[in-house]
Amino acid sequence: MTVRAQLRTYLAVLGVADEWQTRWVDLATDLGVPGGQPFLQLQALMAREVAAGEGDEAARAALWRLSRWLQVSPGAIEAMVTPPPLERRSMASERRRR
Amino acid sequence: MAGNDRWASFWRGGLLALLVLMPSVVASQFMLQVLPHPGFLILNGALATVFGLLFGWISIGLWISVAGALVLLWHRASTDRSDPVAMGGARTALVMPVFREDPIRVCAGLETVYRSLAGTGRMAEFDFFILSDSNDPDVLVEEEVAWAALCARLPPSARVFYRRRRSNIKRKSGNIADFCRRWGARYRYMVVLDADSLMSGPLLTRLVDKMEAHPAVGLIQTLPATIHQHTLFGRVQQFANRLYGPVFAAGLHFWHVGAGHYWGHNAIIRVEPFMRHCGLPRLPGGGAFGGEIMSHDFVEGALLRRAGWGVWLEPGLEGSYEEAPPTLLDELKRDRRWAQGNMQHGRLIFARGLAAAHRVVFLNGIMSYVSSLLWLLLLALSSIEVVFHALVPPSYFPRAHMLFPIWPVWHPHWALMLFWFTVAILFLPKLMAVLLVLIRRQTRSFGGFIPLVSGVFLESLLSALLAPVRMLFHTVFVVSVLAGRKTHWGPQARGDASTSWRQALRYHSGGTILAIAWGSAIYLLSPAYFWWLMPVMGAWLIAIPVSVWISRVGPGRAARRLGLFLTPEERQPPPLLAIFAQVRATPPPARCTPLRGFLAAVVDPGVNALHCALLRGRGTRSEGAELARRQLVLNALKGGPQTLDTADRLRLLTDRETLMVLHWRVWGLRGVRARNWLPAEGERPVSPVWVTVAQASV
Repeated sequence: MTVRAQLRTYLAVLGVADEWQTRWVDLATDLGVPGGQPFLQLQALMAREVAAGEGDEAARAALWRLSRWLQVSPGAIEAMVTPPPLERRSMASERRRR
Repeated sequence: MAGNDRWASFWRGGLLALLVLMPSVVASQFMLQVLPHPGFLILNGALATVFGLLFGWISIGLWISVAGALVLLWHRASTDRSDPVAMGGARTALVMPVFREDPIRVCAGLETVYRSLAGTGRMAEFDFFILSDSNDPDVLVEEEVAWAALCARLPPSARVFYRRRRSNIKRKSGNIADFCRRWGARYRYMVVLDADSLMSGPLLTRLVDKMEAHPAVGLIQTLPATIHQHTLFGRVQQFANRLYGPVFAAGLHFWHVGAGHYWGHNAIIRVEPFMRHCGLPRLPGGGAFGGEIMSHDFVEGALLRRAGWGVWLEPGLEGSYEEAPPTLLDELKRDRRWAQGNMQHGRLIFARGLAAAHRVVFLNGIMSYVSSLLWLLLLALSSIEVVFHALVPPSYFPRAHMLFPIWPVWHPHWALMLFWFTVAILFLPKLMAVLLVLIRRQTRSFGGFIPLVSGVFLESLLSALLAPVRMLFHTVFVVSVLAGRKTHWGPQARGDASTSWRQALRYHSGGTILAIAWGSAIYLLSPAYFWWLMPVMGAWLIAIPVSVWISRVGPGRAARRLGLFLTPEERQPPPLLAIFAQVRATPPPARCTPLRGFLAAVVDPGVNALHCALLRGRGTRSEGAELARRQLVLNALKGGPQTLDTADRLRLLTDRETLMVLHWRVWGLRGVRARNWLPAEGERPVSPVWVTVAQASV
C-alpha cells in the first residue's frame, strides 16, 4: 500500500469527506518525503483546524480527531475530559498517624 | 447518640443477648442428654459446646427475623417515616468504583441513574464519577470508550467524570479515599454505587433530604433488591433475597438502632465526617490478618458511629437494586474474599470506643464463616463418637466394687426431637416472611399463592442441598486464612456466566471424594448413624452435577415460565428498570476501526485521541527513562503488539507523548510490520456510522 493510500485510509476511518481527503493527502505528501513523515504533516494539518492555545501540535491534532469521532466541538471535548478542580484534603485519620 | 437511642440500644442488646444465650445453654445441656451414656467425657463435652455455639448462632438469625417481621407489620422499618422537605443546595457526588468490570454495563447503570435523576428536576445537585482501579490495558481503554460514548449520549451539561488510578493501593477503600482527597471537599454527600448498582432518582433525592433533615446522621444504608438474574441459582437467590431480605434487614434495623450496617454500596455518606474519621490504617503484621483491611465497609460504619455519627440501615426505602453472583462458584469466589475480610475484623472487635452493636457486627461477620468450621467439627466429633462406640467395647462396670452394671443408653427420639427443633429454628424465618407476604396481601407480587409456596419449598430444598457444600468451602477459606494465606483481588463475575463441567470437577471433586470416604467408613461401622449423615454426604456427592445444572440459564428460564421464583420487580418492573432495559438496548458506539482495548488505543484515531486527552502531561523524565521509552517504541514497531507484555502496554498507556508518537508511526508502517498493527484492509470501515450521518464541513 502506498503512503497516499495509507493516508487516505486514515482519513476515511475518521469519516473525512473524499474531496477533503484528496486535498489533505496532496498537502501531506507535498514534500515527497517517504516513510512516516507525511503522517506528521497530516498531524500538523489537523492541528491547524483547532484554535491555538489548546496545547501543542500533537494535542491539538488529537483534539481534532476526537471531536470528529464523537461529533462534538473541541470546546465540549475539553469540558468533558477535564475533571472538576482539585481541592486536595487528606483523610484526617491518616494525617494524624503521620 | 440521643438518650432515647442509647436506652433503646441498651435494652434491645440485653434482650437479644438473653434470647440467644439462655436457649443456647439449655440446648447444649440437652445435647449432653441426647449423646450415648456413658460416653466419652471430653468428646461429649466438646460436642455439647460446639452445638451450643451453633445453636446460639442460628437463634440470632431467628430473633432478628422475629423482630423484623414485627417491625414490618407495624410499619416501623424506617427511622424517620416522615417525608423530609426538599431543601436543595447540597452538592452530592455519585461515585462508582470499578475494577475490571464490563464497561458497557457500568455506563448503562450510570446512564439509567442519570436519566431517573433527571426526572426529579434536581440534577444540578449531583455529579457522577467513575473511579477506575482497572489495571488491565484492554479493560481500561474500553472503560474510557464506554464513558466517552455515555457522555456523547447525555446532554452537554451532564457532569459525568472518569478518573483512573495508576496505583490501586488499598483497593476499593483506597479508591474512595483517593476521590475524597481530591474532590471530597466539594461535596456534602457521596452516594457509593457498585458496578452493578442501580438507584432511582426519587430515592437519591429522598436520601439527600433525609441527611439534610438529620444532621447527626453520617450514613444511610439502603437495602438493595437483587435483580436481573437468569441462571437457576441466581433466580433462587434473587427470590430468597427479595422475600426474606426485607424481614432480616428490618430486624437488623431494630436491634442495631443508630449503629447499623454499612455494606459498601447503595448508601449515602456525609463526606466531611467520613474524611475526618474513616481513613483506614494498614493492619500491622503479615499474613491474612495483616495489611489492607479487605472488608472496609463494616469498619467505616463502625468508625463513623464511634465518632458519634448515626449509621442508619433503612430497609423501608424503595428504588435500590443490585445484581448477584450468577453461579455457586462465583458466589464462593466472592465469599473467599469476604471470609478473609471478616476474619480480619477479629483484630478490631476490641478496638477502643466502638459501639457494642458494631462489635456484634464484626462478631457476626466472623461467625458467618467460622460457623461452617464449627458445623464440620460437630459432624467430625459426632462421627468420632460413633466410631469409638463401634470399636471400643462398652464397660459395664467402669468402677471397681459396682453391684449393678451400667447399660449403654441412647435416646434416638430425643436426638430426633433436637434435630427437628434445630430445623424449625432454621426455617421459621422463612415461614415468617411468607406469612408477612400473606398478611400484607402481596402474594401477587410473587406470582400468586401456589408459586410463592412452591418457590419457598424448592428454595428451601436447594438451600439445604447447597448448605453442606458452602460449609465445606467456607471451612477451607477459614482454615486458609488461619494458615496465613492471602486472597487475591479479582474482578467479580456478573451477568449470565455458567459453570463448566471442568470447573465443577476441579472445585467440587474434593467434597465428593470426602463424602465417599467418610460415608463408607461410617456405613461400615454404624449403618444407623450413616443415615443421619446422609443430608450432608449426599449433598457433597452430587455437588458436581448440581453446581453445573443450577448455573445454567435454561433451567432458570424454565422456572420463570412455570411462574416460579418470581419477584415483584419482575411482575411489575419499576420505572428505573424500564429505563435500564431501554439503555441496554441502545447499540454500542460506532468505532473507527474494529480494534479493541490496547490495540485501539494505539491504532484507532478516535480512541487514541480520547486516551491521550485523558492523560495528564508526563512532566520531567530522566535520560535513562527517556531512552527506555524510545526503545520500547522501537521494539513495538519492530515486533508488533505481540511482543509487548502487560507491563509494557501499561507503560505505553500512561505516557501521552509516547502513545501519540507510536500512533503516528504505526500508521506510517508498511508491509509486514504494518500488518502486525493495522487491521486488514477488508476490516477497515470506510467511515464510522455516526460520522457519516452528520457529515459536516470537512
